[in-house]
Order: sequence, then C-alpha cells, then structure tokens
Amino acid sequence: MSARKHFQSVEALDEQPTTYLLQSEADLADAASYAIERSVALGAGGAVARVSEGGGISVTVARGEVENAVRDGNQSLQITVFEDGRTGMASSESLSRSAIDRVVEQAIGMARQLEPDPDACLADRDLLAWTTPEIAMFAPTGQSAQALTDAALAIEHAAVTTSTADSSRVSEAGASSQDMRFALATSHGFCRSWSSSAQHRWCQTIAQRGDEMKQGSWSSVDRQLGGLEPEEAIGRRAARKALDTLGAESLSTRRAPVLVDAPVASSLVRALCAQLTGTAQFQRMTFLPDAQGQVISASHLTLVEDPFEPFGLASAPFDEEGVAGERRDIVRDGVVTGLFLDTRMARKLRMQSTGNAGGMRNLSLVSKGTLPDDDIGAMLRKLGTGLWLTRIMGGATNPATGVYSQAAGGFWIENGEIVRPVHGFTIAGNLQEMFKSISAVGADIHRSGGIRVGSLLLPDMQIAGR
Amino acid sequence: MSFPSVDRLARAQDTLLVANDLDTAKLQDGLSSLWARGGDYGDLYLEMTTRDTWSLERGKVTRAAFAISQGIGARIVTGDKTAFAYSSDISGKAIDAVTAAARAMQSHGQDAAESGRGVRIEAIGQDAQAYGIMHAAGGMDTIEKVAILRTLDDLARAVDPRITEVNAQLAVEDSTILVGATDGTLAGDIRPQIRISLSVVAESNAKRASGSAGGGGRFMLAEFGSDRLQKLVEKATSVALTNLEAIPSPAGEMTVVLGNGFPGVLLHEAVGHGLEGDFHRRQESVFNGMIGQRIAAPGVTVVDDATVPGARGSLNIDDEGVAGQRTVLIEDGYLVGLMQDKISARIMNDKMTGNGRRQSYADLPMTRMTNTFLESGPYDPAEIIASVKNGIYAVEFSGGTVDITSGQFNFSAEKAFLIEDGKVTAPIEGATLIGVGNEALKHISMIGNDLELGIGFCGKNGQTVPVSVGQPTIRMDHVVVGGAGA
Repeated sequence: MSARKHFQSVEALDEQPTTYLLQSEADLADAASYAIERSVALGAGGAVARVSEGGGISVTVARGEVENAVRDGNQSLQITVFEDGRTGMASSESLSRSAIDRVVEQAIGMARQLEPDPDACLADRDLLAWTTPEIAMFAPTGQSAQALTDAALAIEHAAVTTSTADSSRVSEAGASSQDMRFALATSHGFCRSWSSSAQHRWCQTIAQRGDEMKQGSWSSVDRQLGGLEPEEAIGRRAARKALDTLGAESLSTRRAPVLVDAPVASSLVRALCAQLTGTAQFQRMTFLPDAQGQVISASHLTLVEDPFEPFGLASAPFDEEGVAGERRDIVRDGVVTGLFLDTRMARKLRMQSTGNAGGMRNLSLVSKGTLPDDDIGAMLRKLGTGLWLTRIMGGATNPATGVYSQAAGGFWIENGEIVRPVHGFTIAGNLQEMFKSISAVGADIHRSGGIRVGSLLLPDMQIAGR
Repeated sequence: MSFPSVDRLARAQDTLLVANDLDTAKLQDGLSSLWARGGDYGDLYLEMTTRDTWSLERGKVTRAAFAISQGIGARIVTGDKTAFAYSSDISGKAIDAVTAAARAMQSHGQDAAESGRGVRIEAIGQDAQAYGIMHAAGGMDTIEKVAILRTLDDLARAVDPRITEVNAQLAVEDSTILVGATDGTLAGDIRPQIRISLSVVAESNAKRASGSAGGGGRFMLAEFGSDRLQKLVEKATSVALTNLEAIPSPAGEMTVVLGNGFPGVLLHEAVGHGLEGDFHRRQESVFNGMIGQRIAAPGVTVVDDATVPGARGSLNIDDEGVAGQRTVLIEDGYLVGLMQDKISARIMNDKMTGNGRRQSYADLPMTRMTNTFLESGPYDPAEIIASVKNGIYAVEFSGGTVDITSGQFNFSAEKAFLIEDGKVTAPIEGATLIGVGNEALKHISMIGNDLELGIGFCGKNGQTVPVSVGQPTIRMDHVVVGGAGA
C-alpha cells in the first residue's frame, strides 16, 4: 500500500452536496447551551454539555445483490456536572427541552450523593480552544443508497474476478457515507461546534481450495470521497489477502526476526501509547511509570501527534472538555516528551491537560533511518530470513509488565523472498524490549484510523507453534 | 388464566405504547405500511433502556452516570436482503418516518404499487420465564449502592497489603422491549441486568500486576450478597497476587487443564460462533455441512440455554419475539444443532431457536449466543490435574477471538500455572492458547464434574450483547501454547 497524501480540497467546500443530517451546528449548540443554563440555574458548580448528531447510509452486498441497506440517524446529549469534586453524568437521545431538563436534574441529583475528588473539575479556562482555527473535516457526499450499492458491487466484482486456480468469493462488500456534528458548551461560557464526514469502503473475502477456507479483508476510510482507494483496488486487495494465505502451514517453535506489516504495526503504536495515558501513569499500570523524560523506544524513532490535520481521521479543534491540543512530539529520539492527559488525570499528576479528553489525535511514528525507497520489498530484504507478520488475530498484552503474546499469521521469508504462508502460531516478547529493539521502519506508510506507520522490523521474537 | 408472558407484554405496552400515545393498532398500521412495497417479513422493535453506573476509585465513589436510550427500529426482509432504519423518538410520527425510511432503503426492483397487505399481531404464548418482572435496583437507593462498592474496596484491601489499587463499578440496567412483526408476532419483555466489576493492582518490589473479576445477571441487586462479593474479591486479588510471582509461559504444544467457569470462553470461540445460523446460511463457517458428524470427543455435550434462571445471557424472548430456549449444539461429541434467528431459519428451512439478538433498536438482529456451556462429566478436578505429567493449568482467562472461516481461535490466560508430575507448581504469565475449532474439541480427554458459568460480553460485527460462558474443569491435549519463555 502506498502512503496517501492528504489534500485539502477547497473546491469541495464551495459547493457542498446535501448532508444526511437534520440539524445545524447552531441547533446542537443551542441544545448544549440550554443544558448549561439549566445546570447553572439549578446550582451546579460547573458543567460541560456535549451534543452530537450522526447520520448516513450504509450498504452491504453479497453475491451481486444488496444484503443490508441501513439509514443511520442518531443524536445524543450528555451533561457532566461538577459539585465540589463530585461528578454526575447523564445522557439522553432526545434533545427536547423537557428531556434536557430531566437529564440535568438527574446529573445534579447523582452528583450530590457522591464523595468529592478534588481533581475532578472543569478544564482550566486558559487552556480552552477559544481561538484555535477551524479544521476542514466536513465533506458531505449526499450519496444515495443506489450510489453506495454501485460502489459496493464494483468492489465485489473486483474481488470475485481476481482469479487464480482457487476460488474467491465475497462474504460482504460494503460502502457507507456518514456525516456527524458535535457541539460543546461549558459553564465558563465556552461554546463551539464542528462537523465532519467519513466515507468507508470495505470487502471481506473467502478463498477456498478443497475443504480449506481462508478469510481476507481490506478497507479504505477517508473523510472525503476523493481520498478513498479505487473500488477495484479494494476488492482485488481483499481477494489477495485471502488467496495468498491458502495452503498455510504451521511454524515450529523458534526464535526469529519479525517484520510487522504496516497495517498491523498500528497495534504496536497503540500499545506504546497506552503506556503514556494519564490513567496508566497515575495508576502506575505501566512498565514505564513517571515516563516523561525516560527512554521508551529505539533512539531513531519519533512519534508526533497532530490534532489539526485537515481531514485527519482523528482530528479535532478541541477535546471533550473544550481544551485545545497542539501539534507536538510524544516521543522524540526514543525519549518520552509528552503524555495523553485530560484535566482530571493532569491534575492528579500535577501537570496540564494536553487536550486528550476523549482520546488520542492523529499519530505518526517515523524513523530517522527510513529511506524513500524502503518499500515492502526493501523491508523484506532487510528481514532476510524470518517472519513477515501480516495478521494478528488476538491475544494479550499486560501493560504493567509489558508481557506480549498474540496469535498471528503471515509468511515465512528466506533471503527476502516469500517461501510460504504460515499460521497456527503465536509471537511473544516483552514490549519494553520490543520498542527498544525496533531496527527499521519502512516507507510503506499505512494509515489505520488516526495512526500512520510503516512496517516495523523486530530483530528477535519468540514464535510458538507445533 | 394469566401467563407471565402476558403480564410482561402488558407492562411493555404500557411503557412503550401507552406512555407515548400509541396502541397496538398503530403498530399494526406501521407493519402494514412497512411491507406495502413488497417483502417477506418486517418488524418494528421498540425499546427503552435506562442504565446507571457508579464508580469507585481510590476508596471513594466520586463519579456516577445515568443514561436513557430509547427508540424504534424498522426492518423489512426480502429473501436475504434487509432494509433498516431507526429513530430515537417513539411516537406515531416516528413510526411513519422509520417505516418510510426503511422502504426507501429497500432495493430497487420491488413492486412500487402499494399492495396494502394488512397485518394482525397477537400475543405469543409462553415465553422462557427465565427471570421475573422486576427493577434491577429492586428499590436499593444510592447509599446502598455506594455501600456495595465500599464493601468491595474494604474486602480487597484486607486480603493482602500488596493490594495497592482497587477500582470497582456497579451498573444497573432496566430494558423494556416490544416486538411486532408481519408474521403476527406481538411480544414484550422486561429485562433487568446488573453487573459488578472489580479490578485491583498488586505491587511488590517494583513489580506490578493487575487482576479483575465481574459478576451479575438478570436478577435484583439485593441478591448480590456478601458471599458473591467475597468471591469477586478472591478472584481479582488472587489473579494479581499470583501474577506478581509469575514467570514467562513456556511455548510449544502441550497438555492443558482448563479451570471451570469463564474458561468456557474457549467453547464460545472455538465452536459457538461457528454454529451461529447466519454464518451457515452464508457458508462461512468451518462447521458448514458437518451436522450429524463427530466433531468432538465422546462425552462432550455443548448447549446454548437462554432459560437458565437469572443468568446474564438469559432471555424470556429474543429480540425477534421468539421464546428463549435450550438448544443442544453438540451431543456426546456429535454436532446436532445450530442456533438460529428468524431470517436464517427461514432461508435454511431450519427451526427457530430464539437466538435473534440485537445490541439496541439502532442495530440489526443477528444469530447470537445466550448462555453457552459444556455439560459436566465424571471426573473430580483434582484427578484431572493429577493425570497430567507435564503441562499447564489455566484457571482464568481474559478473553479470546475466533476466525469462524478457518476455525482458528485464540484465547489468553490471565492466571495459569505449570503442572509438573501431576502437581500445580509455578505461576506463569503471557500464555496464549491457539487451535482450530473443529480439531480442538476432539482433544478433550477428561471432563470434570464442576460446571460453572462465567459472565461476559460477546462482540460480533460491531454489536455487543451480554452472554454467559461456562464449563467444568477439562483436560485438553495437543494445545499450542504461546509464551515468551523457552
């Protein structure tokens, strides 16, 4: 897969097709402001209201016909009130004034019966996103069920016509287009909103050789229609994922170098970031407590967070408390330079919120050693003889000890060449050593959700099989 | 004569229809208009769910949340094509809007002429009677809920000074549902659900380990007595304390003894999902076409039973209005039955088993498990452990996943030990068990007499539903165990 450059399509913003949403940002902001007014009127010490609306169409096809066609449309309001460190939360799917009255009363009623946590309170006023710029994220397509059906059928067609001696069929091909709006108001007088869109195409395939069946899948997600991979590529790729693993054999127990394929590598970035959340740091449920300033990975690695990337899949002008994030290094040259904190966890750690209430933003793991032509072929040559890991099925990671153990599948590689598909084994190690041992990062960057990373070379892992 | 199912339906009608100025006639009108442009089947699903959650952290209950979720889902099925729309409003206007939206999603080529097929819905007969009509909180107020969490905190800290963190959560949920369908079904259910969960951290010589436990089901909070709380505490603390001493798990093929209760997640993953009707209808399961064949060792009997009184996965009726029931999936090693929802049963010409479930009104029903477990066998658990020369004893698991097409499953031990010369010795960490569903059950060589259920969440295609899993202690040979040790 090639690195996809994001682009800001100004034209797309000029002439916007109809959105699937029924309400404007102003409608949602009104509901949020009303919830704050009610909370203040009932004596809440502080309050945050979040209102969202989502809508869209999702179509799946199989065997050349529509299987499911779904019209999505949902909304919700969530109010959080603080009463001297007591936190009451309530939510409703109705935005009527009477429903808002009810949830506000419920939240305040609950809060008053709790015990105080001195660190639970509104975000620091100075950190709120009063002036951060808007981020382009809204690209409504207004695509009809028919248009989405056509897209899904084109994907399916590409998958089933990807012929080899083995048969390939599609268990599900799908296309969806969704729009979403979000408004946030606080009792500081802060009230802002944003809108976003998401286009999704996917394909799940089954390849068959005699009694043997193997699954494969591929998907493409972008905020803009123009950013999606072509339908034909998605279908073909999904078919290949299944076909290529037919005839897989087990691996015997051994130690070997492992090249983690870029789409799978995002799970390791996630495991690294999980060490750096406020909760992990505060509860010391991490192998790296007091992480700030400590070495977490090989020194050629840097991890960047960017909340403001135009059309980024994890972009947001402010977090779920109204706090603005910033583009920053989380890890620089292998050393931790940033944590993921919301207001409460920041106060507990005697730090400042980093604008991560509600999650991490767009992340990118890069290496100083990556050359422009370090594509997957070059990375397999760097692996030499070992495992090319293309699938992680599940398993466990223990954040406190770093113990890592996963059921996996992939290809056995000798001298940079694919020898055969392999499955029915686990890979295991310790994250503390694995992050430090990463010896190369490919230029074959893949974006999974908000994470961009190339394939990762781990020089020594334990493989367990028959 | 009054059936409990009739009372439940009456209550559901009060909550979902009468309170919203609706009646059964409006539901019938909605159903008639739903399939007016064609379709084999249609249903309207109304739901109102309230949930409150209380959280304890560092000895104090400082956070609570209340959520109310309600709405209508409208579905039309033609062959195996489904059109679906939903609304978070419950009103006559909303019924009209969702039926119109679902029809708009119906694929082209339907007969556009309104054929005006009337629908008459009637109450179904008996339901499973797996739980009564109740509020999950059962009148317990905030002070009593907070007291339960405090008790957990006190009990956990009293176990061992190395327990340094205790977090606990209590969730109380009441769901009322009503289903009307073009096949004439009218059914309602009142579903309580409570869940208490606990996680602890143990710390010693700069090593940290965590442990967790959860319990609950469809019964009243007051029934969660001190013995049950004590059991949660014992489980969570023993996992954490054991793991403080754990050495890396050995890797390779070996004999494994699985503990009773939640380790039944192996069956859930290895065979349960592969016996869901919708996967068979699409010919995606590794168990396709194996009905009547031996797929497990003699003595292995696996059932899905929605009628277990008060269990987490129990259902008086499923989300398609079919009575919950007990379905034998594997009998003495032979595959004898599948779980079915209405659509898959109709297409496969199989019987309905009450396994049509959905996460909420905003999601489509699928074939899902309820309480799935392996029946007890003849052996004393101690005898099973003593029979193993070298292997591992896996007592607790954190969960697992399966690829139903290839049958490959994996699950991760949370608390496990080495077995050496028939004796349980050193604790181990990082053990992941893998295998292939249609082979693994053939390697069950001993079945204990200590069946127990554990509670879980089951995810499928993005929807999560509450389930139970369970089994007695079992011995399984030739299991691949992955770990970082030699």
